[in-house]
Amino acid sequence: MNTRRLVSLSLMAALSIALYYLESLIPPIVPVPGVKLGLANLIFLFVLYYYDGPSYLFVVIVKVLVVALIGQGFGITFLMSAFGSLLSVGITLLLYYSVKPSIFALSSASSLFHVLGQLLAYAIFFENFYIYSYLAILGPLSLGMGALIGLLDYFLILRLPQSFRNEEKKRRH
Amino acid sequence: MEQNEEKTVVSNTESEKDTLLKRMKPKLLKDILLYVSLALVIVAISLSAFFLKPSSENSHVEIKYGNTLLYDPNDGSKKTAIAFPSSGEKRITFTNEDGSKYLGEGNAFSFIDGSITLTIYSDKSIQIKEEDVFCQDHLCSHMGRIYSSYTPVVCLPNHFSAMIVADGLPDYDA
Repeated sequence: MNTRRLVSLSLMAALSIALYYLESLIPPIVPVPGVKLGLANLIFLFVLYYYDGPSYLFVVIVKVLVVALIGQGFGITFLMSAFGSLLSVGITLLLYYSVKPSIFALSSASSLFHVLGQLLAYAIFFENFYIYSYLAILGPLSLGMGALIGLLDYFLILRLPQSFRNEEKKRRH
Repeated sequence: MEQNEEKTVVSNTESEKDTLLKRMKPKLLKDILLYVSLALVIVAISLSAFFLKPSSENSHVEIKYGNTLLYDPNDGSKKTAIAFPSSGEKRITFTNEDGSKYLGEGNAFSFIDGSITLTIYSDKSIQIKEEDVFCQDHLCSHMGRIYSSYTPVVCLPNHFSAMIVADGLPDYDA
């Protein structure tokens, strides 16, 4: 990738890390460590729609690693976010390239599979699957939050100024 | 020439914007199908988590007086982990005079006038049905039959409690 793309993606990754710390200030809804509002998904989906798949993968990996390095990471929280991001990226890329849904449904799907990945990491760590009963609460919450994030992304892309459009045309040709 | 180039630039950016917006726009059928399938995934996983509960794990009964674990006097070995009977029910009665058996010589239970009988059923439940201690509320015998683990039947003025606990300790890492 060229330098221009690298700089843009680094800016996006920094934004997503800042959003992660913003949402860590909100008190937790559920007493499970590491389950948060998925505000960083806003940035990731924007990168996916504006650039392409590999750029999305790059930003996700950077965010997960930097959050673990800066914060308390590489414990259970890192495992949960790593598993969650893995499942979320997998399902998002699969859906984006095959089914091609709109941004609302894609955001909800990625949010739900992020939660599933986090619960899977928790279940493997504590060697029982009883944590999945939380899915009854977290599942609809994640779908709803994903729809909201998708709505925000929709307005964001709708209101991109003309200069960004020019750059996109230059980038694609 | 300038005007022509500007026009082509504008139309190209318009078409670029259209593809991005088109990729992003809500598409009713695909969206609804995707949401329905996601809801089915949620329902399937949470139902399987609710119904795979630990009813088949091994458990036993623990009876305590204060902080001392008591054992079944009918049983030969003085195990404090009291097993459920394989059929029917098992009754264990504790009176004041039995105190020296459990607590050591010279000590006695301080039940206020009477005895407490714990009934252990074969379907892994316990109940205090018969007791004639002198107390205000008789809460222990009104509690009914306990099926779930870690829910104690307690006679608080007499320091008596019984609970179904799981075998073995959960192993968390340090």
